[in-house]
Amino acid sequence: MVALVFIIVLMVGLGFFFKFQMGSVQEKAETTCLLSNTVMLSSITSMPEIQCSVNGNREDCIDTSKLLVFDPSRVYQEFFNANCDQKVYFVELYPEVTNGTCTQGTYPDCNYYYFFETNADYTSKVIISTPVSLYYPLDESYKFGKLVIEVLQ
Amino acid sequence: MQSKKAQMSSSFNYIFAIIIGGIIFMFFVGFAYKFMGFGESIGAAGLVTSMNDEFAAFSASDSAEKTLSFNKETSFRVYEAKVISEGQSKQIDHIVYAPFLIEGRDIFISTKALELPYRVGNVFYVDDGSTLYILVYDSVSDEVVGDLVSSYNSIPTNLPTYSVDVKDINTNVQDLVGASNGYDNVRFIFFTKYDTVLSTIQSNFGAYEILYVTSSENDYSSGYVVFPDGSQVAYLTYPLLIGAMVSGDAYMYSYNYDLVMEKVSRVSNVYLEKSKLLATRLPNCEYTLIKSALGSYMSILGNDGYSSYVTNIENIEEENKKLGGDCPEVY
Repeated sequence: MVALVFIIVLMVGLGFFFKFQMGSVQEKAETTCLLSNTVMLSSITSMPEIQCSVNGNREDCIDTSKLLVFDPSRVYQEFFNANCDQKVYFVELYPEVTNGTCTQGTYPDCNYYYFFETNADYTSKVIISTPVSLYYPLDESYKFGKLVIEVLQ
Repeated sequence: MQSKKAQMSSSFNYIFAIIIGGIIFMFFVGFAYKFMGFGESIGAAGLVTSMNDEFAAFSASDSAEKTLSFNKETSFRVYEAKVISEGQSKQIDHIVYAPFLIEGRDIFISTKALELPYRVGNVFYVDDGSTLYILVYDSVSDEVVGDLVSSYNSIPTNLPTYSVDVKDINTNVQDLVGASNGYDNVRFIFFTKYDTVLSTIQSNFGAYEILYVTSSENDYSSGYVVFPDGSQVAYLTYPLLIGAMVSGDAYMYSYNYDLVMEKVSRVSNVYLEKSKLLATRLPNCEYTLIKSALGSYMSILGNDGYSSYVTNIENIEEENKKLGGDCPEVY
């Protein structure tokens, strides 16, 4: 009888222990995910596929013509989905232009450059962003924008 | 009769208690082992994730170095674009050159931007400081090795290097032996023939390897590296030469070389598409030649050797330079 009570108490105790342990691991995973995405903010802006390059020298801006022709979902699936799901896009903020997604047809009269998106179910999201300079090679102008990462949880 | 029965019952209780106690004890021992394994897996997963983040943060620089210090001995491998530690492995979207095994409390990482001719990304080097890289030159390769040891193109300073004239090996071998004290391995990188000094090396060094670099270019900016097993691999630009220097073997180098080619193809395709977009939107500008140069370059990716790459890269550079003013350059 004593052994039975001892085993039951032990099982309940272990149940609680595992629950807290799993909670702690999940919390750690979410923190890691957020940290990785914060690092990603700087690494995306330095991707050669979208970063500006003038006279062979890289510049700290995003070439919007490259954003139009490069589709990262085909080649960067692993890079973006390494720790968690996210949605990545660029928005032109100033000077304000017609709202709308940029495609070869609407460019440059648009302000939303879709970059990467996963079709994942999520209950909440954390939005992080960084200001960027958007370069328009057609008239060699620069506009103010931001890179946004929505971390889906 | 009663006393005998009570005696048996008491013995049975002891046996029962020992069995139950043993089961509970084994359960706890098993649990402790599983928990230790779980803790190690979490630690290893943390290590590979933090390594991946370090590479990602580093990719913004043209050239950077960093030492990662751990509070205990750490060992991991970087193999086929995966960081592998304690049975945990994680795919990384970075080109990382490393020896077979990296172990120690201090791990040295460094990066160089790769331009072929435009920037296609960064390559990374991981090392634990246990190997001394000895660069051997002659009168022809003297300047190249000088550049590799101390210039913008140089080998990262956190990789232990030493340079020596091939003429001095036979006469001053003790200096070389002294320089290699404290290192587990020595890797000689010959930018000249080594037949005349091979016996001196064999008799003075225990753990050593020889890599042989050949090139028809005066500045050795592209060429071939021959690994100790006789495998010959091509390299384009100094960052890839440094990659071959650090790589465990020819296979590890070649795997990353293929990744470099994939990156070149991806970035070249972006520039090709961009040049098509510019040609459509700016009909007064001439983009035909650069489109053709980019197309030709993409068609030779994956070819053996390096001379066709050098020719195509020069062609793209030339066509891009012709643009400018009202007709923006492609890169």
